[in-house]
Amino acid sequence: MTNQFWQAYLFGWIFWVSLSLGCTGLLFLFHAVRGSWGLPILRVLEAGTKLLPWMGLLFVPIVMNVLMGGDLYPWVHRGSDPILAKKAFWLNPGFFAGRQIFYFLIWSIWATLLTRSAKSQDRDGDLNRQQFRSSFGAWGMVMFILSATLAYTDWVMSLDPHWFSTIFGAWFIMGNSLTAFSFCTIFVASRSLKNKQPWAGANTFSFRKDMGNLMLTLCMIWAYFSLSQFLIIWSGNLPEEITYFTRRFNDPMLLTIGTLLIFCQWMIPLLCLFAPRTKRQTHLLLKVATWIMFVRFFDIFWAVVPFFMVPAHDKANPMRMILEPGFAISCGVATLIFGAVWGIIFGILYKSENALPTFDPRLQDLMEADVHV
Amino acid sequence: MASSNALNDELITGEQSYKTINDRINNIVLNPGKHGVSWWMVFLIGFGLLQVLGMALFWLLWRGVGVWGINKPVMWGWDIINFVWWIGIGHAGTLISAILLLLRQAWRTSINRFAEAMTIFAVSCAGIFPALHTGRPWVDYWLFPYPNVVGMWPQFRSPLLWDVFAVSTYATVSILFWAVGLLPDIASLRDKSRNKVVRSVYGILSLGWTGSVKHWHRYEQAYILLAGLSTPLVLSVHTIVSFDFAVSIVPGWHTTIFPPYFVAGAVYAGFAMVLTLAIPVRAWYGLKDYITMRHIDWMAKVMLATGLIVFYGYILEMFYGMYSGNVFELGLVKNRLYGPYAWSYFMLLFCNGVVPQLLWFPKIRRNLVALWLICQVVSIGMWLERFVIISVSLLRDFLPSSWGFFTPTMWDIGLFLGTMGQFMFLMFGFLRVLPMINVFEMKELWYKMTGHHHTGTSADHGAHSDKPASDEATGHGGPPLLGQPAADKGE
Repeated sequence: MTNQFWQAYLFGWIFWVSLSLGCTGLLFLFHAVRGSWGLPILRVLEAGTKLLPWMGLLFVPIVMNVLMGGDLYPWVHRGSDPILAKKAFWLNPGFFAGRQIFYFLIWSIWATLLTRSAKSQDRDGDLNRQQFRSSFGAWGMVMFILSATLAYTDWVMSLDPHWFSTIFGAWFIMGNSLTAFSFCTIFVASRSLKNKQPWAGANTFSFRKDMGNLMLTLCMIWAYFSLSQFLIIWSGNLPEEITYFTRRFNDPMLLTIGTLLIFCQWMIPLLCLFAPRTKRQTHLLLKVATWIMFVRFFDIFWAVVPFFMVPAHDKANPMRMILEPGFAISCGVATLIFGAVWGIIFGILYKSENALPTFDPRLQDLMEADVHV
Repeated sequence: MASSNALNDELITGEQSYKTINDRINNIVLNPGKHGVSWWMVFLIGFGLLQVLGMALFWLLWRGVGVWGINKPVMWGWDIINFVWWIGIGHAGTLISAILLLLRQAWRTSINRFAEAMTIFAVSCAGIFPALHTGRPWVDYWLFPYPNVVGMWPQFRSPLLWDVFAVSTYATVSILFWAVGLLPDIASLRDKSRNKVVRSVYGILSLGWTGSVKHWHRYEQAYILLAGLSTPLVLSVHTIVSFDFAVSIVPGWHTTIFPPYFVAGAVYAGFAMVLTLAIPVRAWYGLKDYITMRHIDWMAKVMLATGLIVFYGYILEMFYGMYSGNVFELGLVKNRLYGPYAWSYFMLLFCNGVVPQLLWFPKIRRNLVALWLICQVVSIGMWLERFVIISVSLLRDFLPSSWGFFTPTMWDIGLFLGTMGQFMFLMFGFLRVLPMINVFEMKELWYKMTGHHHTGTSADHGAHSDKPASDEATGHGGPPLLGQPAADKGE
């Protein structure tokens, strides 16, 4: 029972840290390429990123679980498993804990430097600071993609210590960006619909078009990565890899969710976002973004929670694993609790800054251009 | 609008008018005197190597694939390596012409024609290899599913078959896209050429283009449609090529990151080839005002970004090879690091991982000699990547008793050099007979950069009036205005 508590805890944490990491990745990308799409949502991305140290604190119990020999990660008790013995150089409690400190430290420091620079520009209007953020953000992308790949290997992939897939980290990074974009769209669009300034002013047609197209692209990339992983593992049919899909396909509930995800996270958003009307009307885009954020929960659920399945004790099929419905619900509850914590800290962090970057001529250009449309 | 102008300002440099853009690009085709020693040199080298291709093909067809170095267990050697290398090179052209068009990137304009031609010629080189490695190329039509009396069908579950469809679709759409984009420019050449034969050839190729509003309307629609069709092809072709390997269980082939990693590698190699050709050509033909330093800087940045994705793939392969704890994956890591072809793996890391990091420095991106040399290193690196993946993985598979070695023969090398000859021959032949930069799109870009503010003024009128009257009829006096309102609506 206590193990199920930690499993639900880990899942709830993963969903929200993924949103924060999505914000971090987009923040680095925005500063690296200096796209105008990021200006209206810059403060949202920054606040989401600033949550990382807090999310790191919330991960301490999990690290303690690993260090104290808990059952959450099966590789903690190696037994006589020869493969786990070979993996011990990476999967051992001490190194695991050390890596977690490293990830959260480097992400937080890097993001703080970028955020400080943007804040100073708000104060003194010195546009030369952009140059620093551009190169620092580009290096940040490199650092971030590598470290986030390793982080998801630690957090999720190692839950089944025999399983591995090289695209898994990239799959999470892309999915996180999708979550973050839908969150930012919801944030700006819902305030804009209530005519709250300055978001109503920032919610230009070009902003909605950017958000819509970026979500569209990321839905495609999500589908592309998912299909690649499925097709390659399914065709190879190797015993240590195929377990990922057999677990998810043998359980009726998971099979249903997995099948629906194809429609809900790929086809439906795709059709909606292809239509120019969706991007022209704020309330439609808000609906699509809310839908995507909602479906993202099930996607991460489908990716993470089946790692916690237990043997079904089925004599006809001794390999069968099941997911207990009660446990699945507790995972949902954990997500809600973490969401409340995440939301409160986010609100405080967001309010401590200007809602939009001031002194950025590109934002003024965007907002003025919209008046003439 | 101010911001978009600021972005555009370096895409065309120098003192320009519609006339100078017209003349400087079209005269390369219409005036044979424009072709100097350098053109003849490259063209003749290409022609010479083309003869090598002929010999290699003849000997291969006469004796069979045994003339190559392939053996058991290395059944895929230079044939497949070269196929993947060439088809990858083609991707930059499609990316520039289709994806950058949909993204409304103005910097695609002066390099798209050139890059699309490169795509087609690279695909034509690539196609030779899989067609021949079947061993009996005269029955290659069996690859297509057609109802036959023997009731024989290809294996639909095999990515090798998907490749047949993907590559042939890719070739078809690329040719269509290129040909449609050429129509207005060919019509312009038809109107300008003084030689009767030349005029009638261009006349036939221009399909009766008169530049009427209807023509432009249809043109814009067809062009956007083809761009939409080409976009998934950029991803699908190399994804399927990666599936050729990844759906098997050979260690080193069976890796889930392969699809995006192959696509990034293709774009990377493709941009290296575009720059390899563009840097000398823009100097030889005085096109520095059209293919400006800004274009070159952007292409170098794309190379850097895609190169980093490729490097990420190398890191993942190594890391998960060790992380897996799987004896065969660990064997692969050892084979790459300490095996008989370890030098090729370290060369690959040097060429694709270390050298391109120089592109982080703006000074190096703008130093043409350095950039050109980096492109050569990248091309070699991308070839080595396929060598390491394809052949080195096959050297040592599951059973040590079946391990082997691979050495290419002179016919492997000859065929590869031959396709290079074909590529150079076609590419430089193209420079001679068709405008290598899209003239009317350049004029449209020029209009957007300057014309907006003077529409209807005498200055603009002057730019129009220095053209022959026939030009007005073909719509070449100005840019295609019809696409304009649609594009503006989207802003």
